Amino acid sequence: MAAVVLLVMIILPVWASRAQPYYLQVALNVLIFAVLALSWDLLARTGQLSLAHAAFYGLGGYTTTLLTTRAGVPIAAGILAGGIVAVVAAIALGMLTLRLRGIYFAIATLAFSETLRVITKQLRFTGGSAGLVAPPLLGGSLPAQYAVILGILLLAVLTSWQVSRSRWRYAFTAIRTNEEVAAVMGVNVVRFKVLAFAISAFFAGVTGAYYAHVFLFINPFEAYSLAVSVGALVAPIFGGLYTTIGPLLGATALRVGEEALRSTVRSGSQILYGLILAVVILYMPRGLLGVWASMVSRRARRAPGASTKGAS
Amino acid sequence: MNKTGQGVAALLALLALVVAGSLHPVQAQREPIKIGAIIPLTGPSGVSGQAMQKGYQLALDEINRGQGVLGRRVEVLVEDDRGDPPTGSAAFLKLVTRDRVDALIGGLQSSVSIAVASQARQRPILMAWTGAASTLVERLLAEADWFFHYHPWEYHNADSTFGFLRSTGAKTIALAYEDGPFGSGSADASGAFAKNYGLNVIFNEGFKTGSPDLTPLLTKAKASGADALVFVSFDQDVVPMATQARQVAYNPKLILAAPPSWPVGFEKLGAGNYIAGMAVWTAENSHQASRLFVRRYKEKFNEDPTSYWAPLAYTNLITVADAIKRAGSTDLNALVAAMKATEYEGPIGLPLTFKRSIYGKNQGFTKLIAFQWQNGKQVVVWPSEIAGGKLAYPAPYGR
Amino acid sequence: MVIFGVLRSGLYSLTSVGLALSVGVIGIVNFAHGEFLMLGAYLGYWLFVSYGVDPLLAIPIGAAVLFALGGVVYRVSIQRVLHAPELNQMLLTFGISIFLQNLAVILWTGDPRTAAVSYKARAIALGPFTVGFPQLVVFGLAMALTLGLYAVLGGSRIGKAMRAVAQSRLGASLLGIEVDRIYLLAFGLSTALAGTAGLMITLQLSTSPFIGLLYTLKAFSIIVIAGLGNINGVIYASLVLGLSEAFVEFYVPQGGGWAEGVFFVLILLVLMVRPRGLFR
Repeated sequence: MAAVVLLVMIILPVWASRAQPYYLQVALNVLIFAVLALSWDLLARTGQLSLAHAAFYGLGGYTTTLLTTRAGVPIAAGILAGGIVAVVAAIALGMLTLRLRGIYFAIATLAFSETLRVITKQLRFTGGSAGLVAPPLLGGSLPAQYAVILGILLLAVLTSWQVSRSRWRYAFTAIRTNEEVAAVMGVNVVRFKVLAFAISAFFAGVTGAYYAHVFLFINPFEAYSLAVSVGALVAPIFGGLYTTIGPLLGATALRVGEEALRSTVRSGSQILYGLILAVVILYMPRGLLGVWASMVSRRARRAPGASTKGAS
Repeated sequence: MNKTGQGVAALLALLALVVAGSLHPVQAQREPIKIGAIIPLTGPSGVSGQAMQKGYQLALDEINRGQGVLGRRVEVLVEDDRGDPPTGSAAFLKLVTRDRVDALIGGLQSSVSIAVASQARQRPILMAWTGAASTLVERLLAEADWFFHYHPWEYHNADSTFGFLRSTGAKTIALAYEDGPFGSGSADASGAFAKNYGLNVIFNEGFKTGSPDLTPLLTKAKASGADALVFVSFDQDVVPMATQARQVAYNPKLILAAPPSWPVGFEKLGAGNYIAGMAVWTAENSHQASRLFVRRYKEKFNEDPTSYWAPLAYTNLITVADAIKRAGSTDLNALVAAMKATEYEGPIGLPLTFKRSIYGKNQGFTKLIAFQWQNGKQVVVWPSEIAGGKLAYPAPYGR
Repeated sequence: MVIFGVLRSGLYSLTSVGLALSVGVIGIVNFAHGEFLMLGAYLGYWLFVSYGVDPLLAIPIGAAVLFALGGVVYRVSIQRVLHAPELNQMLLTFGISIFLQNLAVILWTGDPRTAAVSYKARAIALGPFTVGFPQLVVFGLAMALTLGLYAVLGGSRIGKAMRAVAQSRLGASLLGIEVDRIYLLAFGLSTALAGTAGLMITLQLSTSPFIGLLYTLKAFSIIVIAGLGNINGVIYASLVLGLSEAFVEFYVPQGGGWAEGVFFVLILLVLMVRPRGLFR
């Protein structure tokens, strides 16, 4: 299924750039969201539920904007630098929050993100509240920009896939289930927790940098906004946690759904979002993939001579 | 279905297509003129965006009640940008490439405006933009002939504010501003303009919008001894400012607040009396077109217009429709020429023409008016040509 | 400056006590806490504007309405995720908060509304200082409610049951306590407290559909500083927060802008140094 989705994502620009740039733009927006979702999910696999995703996103955006406008650094290098700065910050934050679990961890990460926002807003150097303007990526050409985010997404997908296929998967899952037990079993908990944080932040930072050069403007409210962190976690939950397809599915469904609702349901779309969130949590806790899995197993059970599987 | 059946079906389908295709040119003549609007109906600026939508509806009623424009009906396709730049970009592309609108109106938030502007630079279209006060937008579209901006830029706001203050006789200013883009932007512009008008800003501090407690700020402002307090904030902040100023017995000669709109119920607040404000427009405006607008608004929506976005949007659409009429077509160059020749006086009560601004080519409104709350009414006190009452200065706060 | 900080902490403490209760007893971090507060504020506004009821007098009504609402919300949704991962609980209440916020926008528009209560701007003299009258009232109310809650938890049967449940769900149920009933009561009480805080907001300031988030965040920081679930600590934590903010606003140049960061920095510091909270 993943292959089909990816194929669609690649064919889309060819068709869309001639006929319907609107769809291409929507697809671009979806992909940005998808990378954020995937990278958040990666971190979540170690049991670290972060509300700081926006912090790395914002750091990436600001790093590249400051470098490209003040120091004449080329855009590609700026985007990479954005990722690197995010990684450094993540390692620092990861080390500081090693002892925190669950809700404590989440609140600490939120505090980190908000503190960054306040600092950025107060300093002249970072443009203050007014924000900064960034130079356009690849001359503003939509198909070219789409190709870039597609590339970033593919990299993220590969990383996520690789992690879930390799031995790292066991380490992550062990840490998520019970850290103490994992340590006793010989898993280097610190290494994996910080590593996950770093990888996750890298993608968030690169995406934030990409955003700056596509939409040409960042300010502390939007870059470090809680909405970014929340969006990054809603998508994997909706789609199915701890998988590669889940975040992709969730991101696509949410963004496309939002765009469709926006045109049809005029003022009510936001309220539906909240309702959907609540309903999913209440009735579909394993997300869309969970629903799919239970439908598949139900069909298997209904077939004559099927083995008795437990309810999923 | 057998082979013959399939063949007949295919032929019929082909026939239908041909007929439909040939019908097209006839329909095109009656096709309505489509104008796209990108405004935030939801999100942080949703309130203002919805006010704009109402303004558009009023204008649309008026336009289509007559003969429409060039014998065609006018249709406004509203896209909600949700205050989100990517959504704004997508909305632009949808309107321009899919719906093929003839002109673009709307605009409120600067970040969204920048995203839309970057798209518009690649696909030029008439962009009659109401919102965005940040000069970043102005600079991005500096060389664009097809960009027409209605709302005063930040520095216009500062210019009017300090022009008014000078007229009161105040000499020293205490400046307090909410530390978001709106407040900080205005504060930045203030320094230069204050000096221009011979005023001295002796106190300068930011605060977080929504703070329940402004007493430290007000106490410090009081200690500075400035003649006037200039308070740049959002609607929710004026309430603690007014009540807590009374509590710390802070009585400057004038308190001038500049929120984009005022909270419902403020007119009844005793502490709010004699506070002055700057606005693009107030509902108390005595201009005939303004009174007519307020009346029509009340009739249609059963409420009073609480912000200037509604008449501004109305002006936006009416002038664009008028430009199309004068241009005689929807061709971009003709439209641009017609827009440049706009001379309109409507509900805002000030004449609208498009002239050069510091960076831009086509700037509409450049002045704010000043009013003072007097016993529950927003009495216009400046400029003197349109004043409806006299400014109480020094204001009798706390008495 | 100290006085301002102390008075401000009264409001903070009132807004956080409810959250501390729901976290402590039920173990649910209610992201929608601020929205219940907002609903209470609107209730106060409409009661004042339509019937002239002073927000102070409206407290019994407000508390009752919000208690009932909390109960309904609990039964319909929260009850089901008690055994689900924490993430799900956070998200559920987050979804509820988005829903309530937008419901308010649809019902009452996004314009802020202020109730012109007659003594809103009044100040009274306390020795050499003048303090705002509403702030004083709120402070007194916050103290009273917190002490009252403390008394209830310590003394009454229900209070003791709540404390038992907070310590150990299994243990409490073994003792024959109807855990589910306790949860319902605790949640209702928590929303009632939030609603009361909202009424006080209408008394002092203005209300709009969007005020919820700010107070939810402040409440979070306070309960973290106090130690999650520690109700007595809330007063002290509020004092810490109120005083530090006032300090920064007063003495730090451009302090008004930095003050916002104070409580986040405090959260970070506390979590890193003493995650159990400062006042255990």
